[in-house]
Amino acid sequence: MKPPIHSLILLVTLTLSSQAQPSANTGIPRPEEAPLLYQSLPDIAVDLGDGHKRALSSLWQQRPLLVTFVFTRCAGVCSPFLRALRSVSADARGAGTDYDFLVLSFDTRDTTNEMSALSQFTGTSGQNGWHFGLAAPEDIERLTRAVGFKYQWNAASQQFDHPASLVAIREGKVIRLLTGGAISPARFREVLSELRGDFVPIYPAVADTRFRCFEFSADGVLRPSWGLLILVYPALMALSLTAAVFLLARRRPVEPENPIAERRAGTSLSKGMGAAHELP
Amino acid sequence: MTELFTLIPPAELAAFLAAGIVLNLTPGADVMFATASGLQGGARAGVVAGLGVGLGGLLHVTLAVLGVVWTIWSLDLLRAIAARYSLGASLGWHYLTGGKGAPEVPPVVLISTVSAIGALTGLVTAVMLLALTALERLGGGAPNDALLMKNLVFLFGHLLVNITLYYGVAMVYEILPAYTGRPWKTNKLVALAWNVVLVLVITAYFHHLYMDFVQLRWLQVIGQLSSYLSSIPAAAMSILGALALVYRARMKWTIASSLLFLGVLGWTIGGIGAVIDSTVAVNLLFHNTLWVPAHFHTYFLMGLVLMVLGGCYHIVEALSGTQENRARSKWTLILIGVGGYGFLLMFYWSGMGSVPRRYAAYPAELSQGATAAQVAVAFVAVFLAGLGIYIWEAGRRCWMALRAR
Repeated sequence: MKPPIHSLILLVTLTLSSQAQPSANTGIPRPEEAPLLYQSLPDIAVDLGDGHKRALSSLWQQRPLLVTFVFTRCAGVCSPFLRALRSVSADARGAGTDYDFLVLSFDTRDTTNEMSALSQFTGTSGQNGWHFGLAAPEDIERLTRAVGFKYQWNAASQQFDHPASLVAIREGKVIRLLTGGAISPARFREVLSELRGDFVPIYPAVADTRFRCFEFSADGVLRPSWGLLILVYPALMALSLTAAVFLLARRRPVEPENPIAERRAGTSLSKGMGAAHELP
Repeated sequence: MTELFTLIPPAELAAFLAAGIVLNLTPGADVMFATASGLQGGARAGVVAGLGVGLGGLLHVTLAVLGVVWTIWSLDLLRAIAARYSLGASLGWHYLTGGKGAPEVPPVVLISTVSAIGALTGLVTAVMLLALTALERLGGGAPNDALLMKNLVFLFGHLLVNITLYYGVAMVYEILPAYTGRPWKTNKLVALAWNVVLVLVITAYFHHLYMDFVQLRWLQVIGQLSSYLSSIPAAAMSILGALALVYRARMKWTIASSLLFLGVLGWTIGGIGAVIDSTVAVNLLFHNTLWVPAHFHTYFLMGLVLMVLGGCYHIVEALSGTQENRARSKWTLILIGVGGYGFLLMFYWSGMGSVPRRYAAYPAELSQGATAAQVAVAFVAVFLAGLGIYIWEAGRRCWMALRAR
C-alpha cells in the first residue's frame, strides 16, 4: 500500500509543480485571471508625460481603465500587442468616451520621451483615450504584483521576459484579465461589456481544458464538443455489462409457481405468520 | 451469520491482516506529516494530525468499498435474474409486444432489472469521475472541463438517489400484496412505465444544472421534460397501483403494511415537490432554498426510510414467528408520522419564505429560518421517539429469530 502512495505523492508533487502556464518561450508564468477578479488595486502615482503626477484612481474614477505593461526597448510582444489593441479598439469604438487605455512601463530606464516615441511607433499617439505613463519603481512593483504580472531580465537577450496582458479595471477593481499577444475583437467587446456592467455569461477560459463539453467560438456561438460523448459512456458501459451478464448466464426455465399464490400459501418470508403469537 | 467469517481461510485472513498492519506502519507521507506536526506542536498536535490522516483515509476506503460492493451486488442481482429470465423478459418487453408463451415477470424483477442497470450507469460514472480526476492530478497539463465534471457528479448522484428509491418501491410491490390478499402483477402499462424510467432517469439529472447557463439550452429542455416524463409513469403507476391494491381490500393493517403504505405516500408528496422544483421557472426562485431539502427529505425520510422499515419489520416478524404489539405499533406510527411530517413542514415553510439552505446562522431578515429550525428539532425528537420504539420492537424480534436458528 505504502510504496504506491509514495509514488503517487511524488508524481502529484511533480505534476503540480509543472501546472503553471508559462508564457510563450519565456518560462514566465502568465497571470491567472480567476484569483484577481474583483480584487482592489493599489492607487499608485503615475506620470503621464505632462509634467504632473496623477493618482491612478483619478483615471479609473473618470471612466473604466484598460492597463497594459510594456518596456520601450522590447523587441518582442509589446508593440505588436499595442497595435492589436489599437485595432480592436478602433473596431469596437468608445475609447476616450467609454474607457481609457493606460500603457505603463515597468522598465526603470524608460523615459517620458521614449514612451512618447513608442506611442507614435504604435500609431496610438494623439488617439482619444490613450495614455502612456511611468511610475516609481516601488509603485510599479506594487501594481504588477497586485495584477500577477511577472517579468524577468534576460541577460543573454538583453530583454525582459514577460507576457502580454490587459487588465480591465472598473472603480479600482479588476473586472477581467486577458493574457496573450493575440486579442480578438469578440473578446475585446466582451471586456468592454463587462466594464459597462453588463452580464457576460460565457467566455472561454485562458487555460486549455481537457474534454470540453462545449466549444465557444469567436463568433459567440456555443457548440457541442467531444467531451459530451463522455456523458454517454456510462450508460453504454452499463448496458454492455448487463448484456454480457445475460449472455453468459446459464438460464433455468421459470418455475410455474405464481409468486403471489406462493405468498398467500406462506412462502419463505411469510411462513409461520399465521401461527405467530403476540409478544408481551 | 458466523459463516461469513469463515469464507476466507483463517491463515489467509491472518496473513492479509498482518500485511495490512505492516504496510500501514511503514513510514510514508502520512507518518511524516504526523511526526512533523508532533515535533512542531507537541504530542497532542501529532496525535490529532495522525487521527486526521487516518480518518481521511478511512473515508476514502469506505467510499471505495461501498462503490465496489454496490457494483458487485448489482452484477450479482442481474446474474440471478438472468438465471431465470432473458434480458427482454426481465424488462417486460413481451408485455409491450403482446408476445405469448412468455413467462410472467413479477414487478420486483422488472424494477430490480431497471434499477440494477441504472445503478451500474451511476457507478461507472463514479469510476469515470475518479479516472478523470486522477488524470488531471497525475497527468499534468490542462485541467478537466469543469462543466463536464459537474455533469458527471450529478449524473452519478441523481441516478443513485433515484435507484435507491426504486429498490424501496420494488419492495412495496413485492410485500404489500401479502397484506391485501390481492396480487400486484406486471402488465403492459407497468412494463411501459418502468422502461420509460430506465431511459429518462439517466437524462433527468440535467435539472440540477439549470443555473449553469453555459449548458446548452436543449439539454436544459431535456432535463425538464425527462423530470416530468420519468416521474409521471413510474410514480403514477405505482401510486395508483398501491391505491387500487388497498381500495376495498380486506387489508391487514399492521405496522409493516402501514409503513409501506405511508412510504408510498411520502414518495408521492416528495415526488410532487421534486417535479415542482424541476420546473425551470420555479427553480429560478426555489434554487438553493430550503424547499430543496424539503422535497428530498420527504421522499427519503418519509418515503424510502418508511418502506425499508416496513420491509424489515415484515421480514423479522416472519422470521421470528411473532405478531406485533398493536399498542406499540400504533404509537410508533403516530410518533413517526407526526414527527416526520412536522419536521418536513418546517422545511417547506422555510422554502416558501425563500430561506436559503446551508446557512449556519440566519440574518434578521431570514429569522423565519431559525424559528423553523427550532420547531423542527422538537419534531425530530418526536420522530426519534417513534423510531426508538420501532428499533426496540424490531430488534427484539430480530434477536429472537437469530436465537431460534
